[in-house]
Amino acid sequence: MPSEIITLQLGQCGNQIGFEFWKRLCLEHGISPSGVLEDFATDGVDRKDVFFYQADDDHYIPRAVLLDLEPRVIHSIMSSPYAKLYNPENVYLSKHGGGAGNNWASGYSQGEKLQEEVFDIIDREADGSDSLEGFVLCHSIAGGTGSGMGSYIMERLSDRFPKKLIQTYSVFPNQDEISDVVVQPYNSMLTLRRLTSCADCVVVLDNTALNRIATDRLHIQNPSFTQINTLVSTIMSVSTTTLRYPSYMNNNLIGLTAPLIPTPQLHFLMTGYTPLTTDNDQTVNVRKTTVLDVMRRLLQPKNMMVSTGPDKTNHHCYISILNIIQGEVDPTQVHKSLQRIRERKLAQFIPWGPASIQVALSRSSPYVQSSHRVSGLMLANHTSICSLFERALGQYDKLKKRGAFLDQFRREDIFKDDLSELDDSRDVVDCLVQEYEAATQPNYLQWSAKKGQEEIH
Amino acid sequence: MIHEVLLSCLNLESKRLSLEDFTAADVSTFLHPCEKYVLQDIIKIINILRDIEKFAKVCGSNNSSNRSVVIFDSDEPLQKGLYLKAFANGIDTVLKDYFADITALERSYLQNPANYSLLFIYRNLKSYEPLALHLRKLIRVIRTQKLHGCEIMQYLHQNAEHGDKKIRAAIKTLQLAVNVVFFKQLTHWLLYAKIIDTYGEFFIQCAEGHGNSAAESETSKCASTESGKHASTITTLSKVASTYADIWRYEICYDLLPHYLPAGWAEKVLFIGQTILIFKADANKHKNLTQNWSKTEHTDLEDESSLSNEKEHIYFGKIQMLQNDEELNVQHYESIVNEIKSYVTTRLSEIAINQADLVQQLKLMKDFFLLGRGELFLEFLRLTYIIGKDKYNENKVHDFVKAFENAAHGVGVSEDLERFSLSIAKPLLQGGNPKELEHNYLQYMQLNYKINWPLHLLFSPKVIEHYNILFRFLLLIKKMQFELHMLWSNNVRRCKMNTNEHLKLTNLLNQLMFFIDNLQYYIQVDVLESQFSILINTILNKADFEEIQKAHSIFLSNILSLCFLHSNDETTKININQFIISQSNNPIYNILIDVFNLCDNLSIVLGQEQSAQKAKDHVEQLDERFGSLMDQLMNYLIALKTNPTTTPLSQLLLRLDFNHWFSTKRKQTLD
Repeated sequence: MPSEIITLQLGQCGNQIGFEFWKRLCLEHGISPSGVLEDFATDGVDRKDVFFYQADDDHYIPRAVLLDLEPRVIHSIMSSPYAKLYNPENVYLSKHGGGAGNNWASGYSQGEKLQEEVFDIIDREADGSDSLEGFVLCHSIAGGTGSGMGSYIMERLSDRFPKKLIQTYSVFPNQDEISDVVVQPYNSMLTLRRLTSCADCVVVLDNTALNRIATDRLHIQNPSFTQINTLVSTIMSVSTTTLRYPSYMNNNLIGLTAPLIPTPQLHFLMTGYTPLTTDNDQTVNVRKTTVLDVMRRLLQPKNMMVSTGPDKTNHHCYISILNIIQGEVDPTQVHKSLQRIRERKLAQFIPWGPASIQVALSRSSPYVQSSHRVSGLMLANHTSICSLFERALGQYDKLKKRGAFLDQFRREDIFKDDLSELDDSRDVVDCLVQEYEAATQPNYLQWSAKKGQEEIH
Repeated sequence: MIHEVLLSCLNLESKRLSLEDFTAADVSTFLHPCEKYVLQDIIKIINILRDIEKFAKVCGSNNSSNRSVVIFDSDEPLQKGLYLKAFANGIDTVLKDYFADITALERSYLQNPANYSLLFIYRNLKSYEPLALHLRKLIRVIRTQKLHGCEIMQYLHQNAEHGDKKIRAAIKTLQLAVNVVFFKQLTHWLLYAKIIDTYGEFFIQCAEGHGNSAAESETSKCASTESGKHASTITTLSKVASTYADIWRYEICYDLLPHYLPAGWAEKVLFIGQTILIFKADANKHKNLTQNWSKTEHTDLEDESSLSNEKEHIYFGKIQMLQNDEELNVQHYESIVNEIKSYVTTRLSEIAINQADLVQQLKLMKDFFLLGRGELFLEFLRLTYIIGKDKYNENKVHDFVKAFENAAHGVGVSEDLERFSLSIAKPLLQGGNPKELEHNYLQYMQLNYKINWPLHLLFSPKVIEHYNILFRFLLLIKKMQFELHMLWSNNVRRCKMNTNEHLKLTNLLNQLMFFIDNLQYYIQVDVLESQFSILINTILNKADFEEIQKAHSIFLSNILSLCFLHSNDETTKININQFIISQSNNPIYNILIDVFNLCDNLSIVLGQEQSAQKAKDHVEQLDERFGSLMDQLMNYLIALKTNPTTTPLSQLLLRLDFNHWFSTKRKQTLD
């Protein structure tokens, strides 16, 4: 079974979106909550083996590892109808169950302490696959477990499996509401550093944008976690659809990510999905979904699942775009849509290299009915994502200037001597922002060459 | 003497002309000088008639002991044939009038011998002279040009229009006589797909073995005629049934096709016969199985022939009507053949769609030959990549084939292996330089497909070969993409070194990857998917098998040309590793191959342990080369864009040059 992918779910948020993701995969592949193939799901058209493996009794088991330092979410998963789906050996709860207290440092050091047990599970999963392609990590960057323990595990993964890809689905905190986690800016900064240096590809799921889309586009007054997570699971499942329903291209993770990431540092991807509807949305469907419509709407900032804020100078641009289009697509329309988008200059691209909108036509699950003829997901590498990091830097600086809440960090080993780790992280993120800014300029390549020289000297 | 003359007129077959004695010097003294000339003229005419008669006698005789006929000793022997025989018999018919006339003359002479003068006889004979001359001309041309079979029909048609009523009538008679043979053969072919053609005269010919050894042994009876020009075949039903390959051995011999019948018509005739062969082949093969076909519309298939008896009579009658046509009416020919064809093809497409699951089969073809199942071939490439690293050994070919099977098992499509199998052609086994083989194994790869009855008409060996050309090309692109991804994974990903050299490499790799990716998107979406949807729509909308066949060949030729694989040079081979060896006349194809070479070189350069400086030089070289190749490609694409017939190329251009990167660069270099 080639090109397998192991999913790691960390912390409260990671486990929740992971849970929704697996629910969705089961639905699409016709697998019952207990892992048995439904009668209507005849074999052959899809590839379940990328994300699932079969036990001796032929029932399907996700290649998923569930990790948390507190029992709440995992308990709720294990008491749901999907409890039997997972391999119980792959569910790891720390024994004391106290969580990480929304503290990155605590999560990080607990990850260090528990690494042996955790990597027993990961190694077993890796050995069980034929040609493992990579890991997918689900976590949030603001909390304690997902960010702290996630950071530690990412570091170890890239050491232990240097040839395997590490992709993450990272949830960024909602900026519109006041968080109860006061050290969130610290946590974010420290995690961002690992995402920059250890991950190959980060799919940014910005809670700010997700909430805004839920209220503005789906007309939900107070979107619940479940509703937001449905959005997330849609993104996750569609972005892996070319792996699970293969056609000509993008049949493995590397084929999906390599064209999107021309330079190793710029690997933070935005997503967009259209058309969006909710289950209780009974309004008459007035939308016309054609390939052009879908592709055009995907380019609108309001459909982006990342809130980048207004681009005042209007200099940000796309580094690369991959559109995954599903449904009844007339293939001849794709070219016409591309032409129209270019004529109308709906998308601006980098001035230092070739770039285009790559359109992958993908099959979709026959078991999930969609009310739309055509739907599409965009995976985009856009320079404006740096505004997200700038915002994080700003909040960090505000907090750091006051020297607030640093005591909880000093308690952990990594900050025992000094707080240089925090400042280092800030530098890394600052560099990242600079690099994204530079990528909007025609002389980007010379810029990075110069920067490379400076680093050497 | 006059009676003597009359007798000579009647008895054209005598060994020598006794009349000639009269011209001897001693006898001629009895003749008036005028009469002498008249006599000479008479002799001349009689001699012409004698020649004609001799020809008719020899060619029209039933003596079939030898295949060639010697008419005049001085001549090369004339190839024997049914058409020639019919022609000769026709001449006999034409001469009947003449004989009747002369006999009447003789009778009246005997009643009243005194009233006849030599001149009178001459006058009567003279009226036949133009006919005789014309006939002699026909015979001479047939003899000198060695007209054979249907060529005779063509020649007669050319000479059919003549001012002289008598001659025109005579030629009509001749044509009718020859047409009898033609229609007999045509009927046999159209209704039973049999060719009764001992002398290789019909315009549909069974070609000699196409390198298919099985087929060859089956039809070993196909003996070539002594002349070696036209193969003559007695094809029997059972032999045809033995192998499907046989149907492709029938070809139209355009030399033999009378010009007044259009080539399209002949193709239709060929197609009908082939269709019937397909029916028959199955009827024989599944004699027992056919009983299972419960559907009533297929019951008549259980007969030996595809046409129900009733229909057979109708069509037989129609062909007979054609034969009785007074004037040649090409439209009539066409309408009848069209009628038969539409009957046969409608039936065939019903079967093709219902029984053979045509749409599903086409999807399978797309999945395999056109790499629709990308994951299968990705896995295959991954496995061969690992094998490729091993040292060369004898088993390598076997390993490649095994890798394909393993890949199929790996991704869970093993049940399709029954239909598709990979083989690597012999040259690889015999090849001298093992190193070269490793890189070239791709070009010897062949995907074999087990064809569902009765789709053999759709997937002829030639079509399958075309599919294989596409297959190799697409697989090559995929291989390049795979290798670039490996390079990206090993060299670019997570590399924190921002040295100048490294940036160059990253940049080159990005551009190559961009190029290959967009080429693939172009091929996948703009070419394959678009063309395939057109094909499927045609199949779902129409019932006629020939239209399906036509749509399919348009589909195939479109994707071949849109993938830049159309070239007149059949021997073109994709040759990686070495620089430009390919000699395709498609410039874009050549550029693509150059880019592939470049990718290959890059991966070799990076694979070797080299000093940084050396590697840097290599990368710079390749970078420069890629730049110039892209310039060339852009020049072609932009130049061709203005041409309305090449809109597909603008699709590739749009994808490659979406952010005007290549065109701006080109402009800069031009300035």
